[in-house]
Amino acid sequence: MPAATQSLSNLPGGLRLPANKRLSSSTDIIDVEVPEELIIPLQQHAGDAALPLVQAGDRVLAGQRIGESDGAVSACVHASSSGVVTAIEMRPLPARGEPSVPCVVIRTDGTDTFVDQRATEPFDGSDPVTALRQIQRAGIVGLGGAAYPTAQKITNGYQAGIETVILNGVECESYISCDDRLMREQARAVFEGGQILRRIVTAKHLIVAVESDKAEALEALRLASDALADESISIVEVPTVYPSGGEDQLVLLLTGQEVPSGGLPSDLKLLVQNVGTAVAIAELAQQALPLISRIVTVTGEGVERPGNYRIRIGTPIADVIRAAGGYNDSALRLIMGGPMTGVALTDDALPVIKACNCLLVTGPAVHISPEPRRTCIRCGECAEHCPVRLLPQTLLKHAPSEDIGPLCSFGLDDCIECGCCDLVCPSHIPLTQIFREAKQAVRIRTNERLRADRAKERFEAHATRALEQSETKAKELDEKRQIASSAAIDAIIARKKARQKDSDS
Amino acid sequence: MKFEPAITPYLRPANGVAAMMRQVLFALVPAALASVWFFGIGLIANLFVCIAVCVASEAVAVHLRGRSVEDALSDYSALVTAVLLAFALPPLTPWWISATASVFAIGVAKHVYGGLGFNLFNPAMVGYVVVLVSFPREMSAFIPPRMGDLDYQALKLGESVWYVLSGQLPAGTSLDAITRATPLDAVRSALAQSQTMAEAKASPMFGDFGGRGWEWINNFIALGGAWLLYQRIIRWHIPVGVFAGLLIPAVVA
Repeated sequence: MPAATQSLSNLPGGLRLPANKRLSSSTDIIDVEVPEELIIPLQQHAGDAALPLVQAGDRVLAGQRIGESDGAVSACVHASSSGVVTAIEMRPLPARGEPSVPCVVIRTDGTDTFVDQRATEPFDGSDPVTALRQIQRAGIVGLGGAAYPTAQKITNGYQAGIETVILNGVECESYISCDDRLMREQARAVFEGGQILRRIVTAKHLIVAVESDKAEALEALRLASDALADESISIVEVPTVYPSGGEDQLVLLLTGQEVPSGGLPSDLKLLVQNVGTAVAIAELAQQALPLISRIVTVTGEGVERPGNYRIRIGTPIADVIRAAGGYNDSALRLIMGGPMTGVALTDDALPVIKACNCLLVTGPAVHISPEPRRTCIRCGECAEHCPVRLLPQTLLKHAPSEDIGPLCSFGLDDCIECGCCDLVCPSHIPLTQIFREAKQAVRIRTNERLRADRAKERFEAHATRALEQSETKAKELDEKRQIASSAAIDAIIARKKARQKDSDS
Repeated sequence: MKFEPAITPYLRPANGVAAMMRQVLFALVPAALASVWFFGIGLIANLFVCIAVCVASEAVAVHLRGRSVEDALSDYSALVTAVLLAFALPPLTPWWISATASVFAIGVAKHVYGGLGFNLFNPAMVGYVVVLVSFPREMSAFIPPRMGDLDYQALKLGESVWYVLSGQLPAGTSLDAITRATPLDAVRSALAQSQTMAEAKASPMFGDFGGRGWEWINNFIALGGAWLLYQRIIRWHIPVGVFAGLLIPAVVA
């Protein structure tokens, strides 16, 4: 199908970042061998943690489900290779704040024996119930970084009614090239996954969105889609602007419509999935393979052989870096994710998880800042570049007070934490970090307020009940007194009359 | 291997306050050279006094506020205020006038309001207004540009410096002798005498289209402004707004 730079809407704000992608995108994807120890967190997705299905001492096979999804928004977890479970214990998760989560630790046996997949029902999407059950059981989550359980996302979309499935191959952040390589090497699988998604939600159209500087990926996709000869599939080139790959931003670019604040693309009858997720669905449908590995860009000036690597989930990052040639003298920080939205980790013993799309080892060129942090000079650059059209300057003013009213009315909840404002601020104010903390503070305050409101409700209900009870009691007492007193008076009158009668007679 | 934590972004930021201020200073260099060419060392003398007093005032004010003096001075904003004042004040302003303007600019207009980013008005312009109101005679004393005027006795270099330092002119000259009306003054008096603009501009103090000397300084300031626009240090909205606010009422009224 012809690639189209169809009339795209403009993204408000945004930045042109230095790409730094050729560093890692010039070589084919390399498979990293299974490590000696796998650390597989039961909580590496949005929603509730998975419940362990195994215990220490159990033998597991590759692809075996070791964690069952628990709750409405949750995902299954699988063993990435065969071996013995040595422990189920709390370990730090590679995420902001490095919280401790329950993890299944497996000592691999080197044979990489897979579980028998013949028992798995095949699917192609025409039966949505089977397809969604398989996708949920395979532990597939969004591989663009958010790790939202895919089956749940599709179900929500299905209920809303989807007209177009959008596969997000934009990959706008610097350094990251895993989706680029995936589209170059597995273009057919991208479309197969897209078609399955389309059948499940009975959408009319399929769009694959790619940044305009990914010429090779576009070529590979065009070849694959020509072979399909389907009028309702289109490949759209998107301008190379950060953050055009954000879900809401991509929807705006492609359709001109804004996803409502607090809403989802399904409100506009759209389903957006990362190309990696689509390929995972295709591999599940064709090979009955659950999500046990993903492609990660290992890059930065601090690694010897930057490139894209296919890594088993749970592989310690140290093993990955070793496979990429090891650190060199410039290695200063280890970042999971991209340079704008990533998290600086403190330890490379942490495992690669489903949400990890990039391991960036940065050096001194990035981190030695020429200027100190200063006060806000009211230049307005932050608002010029905000893709959600917020006013970071004003949010900054209200953030220290943690005042819910102004912060919410100025749209703090709509901030996508892209980091554009950070990069353009001449005073080097860490705006995104301040907004993250402010969101947290607002959440806490809102909860406090809810609890206080409920306590007030209970108190008032109690007070009303107490009042009613005392009123009822008073009434009863009154009545008793009434009866008692009128009876007494009658008695006295009766006695008097009786005495009079006696004295008369 | 262990690593230190860090917060986003993990890219080198392009901008910086000091870098922006330095660009503003570069943008003013051509205009400064033009001023020296036409008016002699007057601007240089102003620069010396204003820079010295602005930087000193900034250091004192920041120190009194309990903040880092090094951070404050390294943002070059005091320097930019000083340079703007040096341009705004007439060439050859006595030092105490420049100093007063500088102290008011930095101390009051900037730091009393809260420092960089909190000032309500441009500090340099507040300093200018204060001395304009307080020293009207010296502030309207503009030496004329070099224009081949044979009977005009310009001050020599040493005499200029001595005037700035002491306010004393050499024997035999007076302020009225060495200063001339500005182009704007000349146009106003000409129009009052019912001359046309063309007749008013026939005088040798006018150059190709504006005041001799001044038009070149302003051309170079405009060039500097274009440079700042190109570097995206400023945006077109404010300059266009200022010009529109000047031209439209002037044309209509």
